[in-house]
Amino acid sequence: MVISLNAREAFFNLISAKMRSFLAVLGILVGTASVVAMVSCGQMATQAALKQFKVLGTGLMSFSINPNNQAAGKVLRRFTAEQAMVIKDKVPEVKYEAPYTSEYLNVRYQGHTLDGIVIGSTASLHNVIKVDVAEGRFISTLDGYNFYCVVGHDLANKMRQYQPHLLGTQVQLGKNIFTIVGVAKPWPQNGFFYQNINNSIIVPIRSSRLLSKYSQISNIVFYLKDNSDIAKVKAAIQAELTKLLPQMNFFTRSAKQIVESMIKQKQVFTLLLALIGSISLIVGGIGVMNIMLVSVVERKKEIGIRKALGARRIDIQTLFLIESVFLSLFGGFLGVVTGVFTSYVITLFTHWDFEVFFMPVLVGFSVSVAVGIFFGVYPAIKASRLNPIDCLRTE
Amino acid sequence: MSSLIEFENVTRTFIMGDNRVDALKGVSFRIDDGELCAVIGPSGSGKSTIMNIVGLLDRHTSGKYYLEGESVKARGEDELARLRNHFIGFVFQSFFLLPRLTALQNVCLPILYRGESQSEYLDRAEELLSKVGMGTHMQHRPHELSGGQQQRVAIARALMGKPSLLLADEPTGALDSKTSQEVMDLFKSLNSDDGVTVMIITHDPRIADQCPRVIKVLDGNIESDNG
Repeated sequence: MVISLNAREAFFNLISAKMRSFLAVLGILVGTASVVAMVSCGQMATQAALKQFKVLGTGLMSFSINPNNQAAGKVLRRFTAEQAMVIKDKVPEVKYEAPYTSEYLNVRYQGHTLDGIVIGSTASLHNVIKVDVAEGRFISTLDGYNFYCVVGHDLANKMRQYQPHLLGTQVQLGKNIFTIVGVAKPWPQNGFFYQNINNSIIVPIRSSRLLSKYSQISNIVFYLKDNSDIAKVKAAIQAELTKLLPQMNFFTRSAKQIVESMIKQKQVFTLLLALIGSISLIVGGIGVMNIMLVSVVERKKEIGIRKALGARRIDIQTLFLIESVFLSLFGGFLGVVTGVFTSYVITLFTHWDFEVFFMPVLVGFSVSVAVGIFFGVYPAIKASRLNPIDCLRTE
Repeated sequence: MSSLIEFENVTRTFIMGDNRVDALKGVSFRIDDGELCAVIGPSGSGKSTIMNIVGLLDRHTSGKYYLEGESVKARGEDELARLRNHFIGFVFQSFFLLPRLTALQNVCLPILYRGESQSEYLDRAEELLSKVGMGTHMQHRPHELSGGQQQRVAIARALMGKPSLLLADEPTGALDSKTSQEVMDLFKSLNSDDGVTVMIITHDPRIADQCPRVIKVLDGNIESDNG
């Protein structure tokens, strides 16, 4: 009852001092908006950075195979695709496995030399790193040692300058002639597959052995089943690889681990943005305090009258505190709206995907209210401690 | 029977820098239930200090002040606020109504600070406003009322909490002589018909002459007291 009456009075007091209330609300508004916008942008930036994993999924894991120190300089026996593909059967968490070779070779098409990378791949590569074909088909297990190839998107565009219909035409890779059976769609690059598919020619992995004696399987990419224990799978694969290739070192990357560390980094980044935003919120809070202090001086007589009528300290404190809470609630609400709108405008420039996040809105709003209360306490206490006689005497 | 108000050798000293001002130099008087009493004296005589101390807005320096037989010396500030709310009804020279509230809301204020539901007291507030002749102006705001009307609302407000003492500080100081007399008649009828104890601080002899008891204050001492 007392609170609701005080609230009504506070409301009318604020209405009657429009300009002052507006300025206080503005301070809180700007502060809240900057917290909301900054934290939202932090989160949207994180989402944008994680976008490649949305396409690829977090099940990707890559192994690079390199000679260890003792083996340096020696010619080493490597394994064949058949040997490598055994891992999929030994480690149940592996859904797809794709060993691949890569070699820089002279690519000649219609009498022109082009830059390109020749990748020897199994059919499963399509599943692991999501290479789709725009025309024709992908490499198949049935291709065996056949000289068929699939051309990456960018390289295909270059070739079309000389011959618009690529399917069925022939391309010279090193000393061998390959028939084009497919053209790949544009492929988003990622950190797990070391070559750019868009600029490559994909051939069956067995055929790649015939192209060059240096063409060795030096990388394997895996796609793991959902919810696999990354550390466990990694150890299991490594154990299998070590059995096959005792003199090699293996370097591993896991999408899940990278995503986790990225999220962790972005959290720190977002926190930093929130702190910067909070500075303006604190400035806004000081504005509220300033305005409430002015209000206390202006309403000294009213304070005196209320005290004479029996208002206790807590009654006077409540009266003023409710006003500052009102100011910050209102400013906080408008600030959240402004902040969300601002972050929307920012996405128009940065091409991030716009999304309204619950967390920054909640944090922005509750922090602004907390700031209002915090900075309202001092003026309220000051008002409640005034001497009633002095208050009644003020003109 | 104990008195409503009892001052025993009350002093009030203000220290302003190096200056020491003895506003009250040992004042003793008693006011009983049902009295209509005027405190008069020129400005600077100490009558306002008496009013502030009686009204628990200020604390005395030494001596004893009993309100309804209880010493008020060692009370905390919130306790004094509670005593003011229950025992004292203030009427001020410039009315001191809250400008944004209606007459009715102003009258209800003392109940607000009792922590009780105002809605239960609306009937009483309306009754009091009718009694002071403001029954037709209950929803008016102070700026819509004349000085005399505002003072009537202020008197209704002072009576709202059923105080033991109506304490009026120059209640007619801002009014013309006709309105002054009307307000004074209201005090007199409240005193005689309803038994309200009234203490009027004034420097107007025409007001004081209408009170059965007059305390004259001069230079911080009581010069005369016919009680």
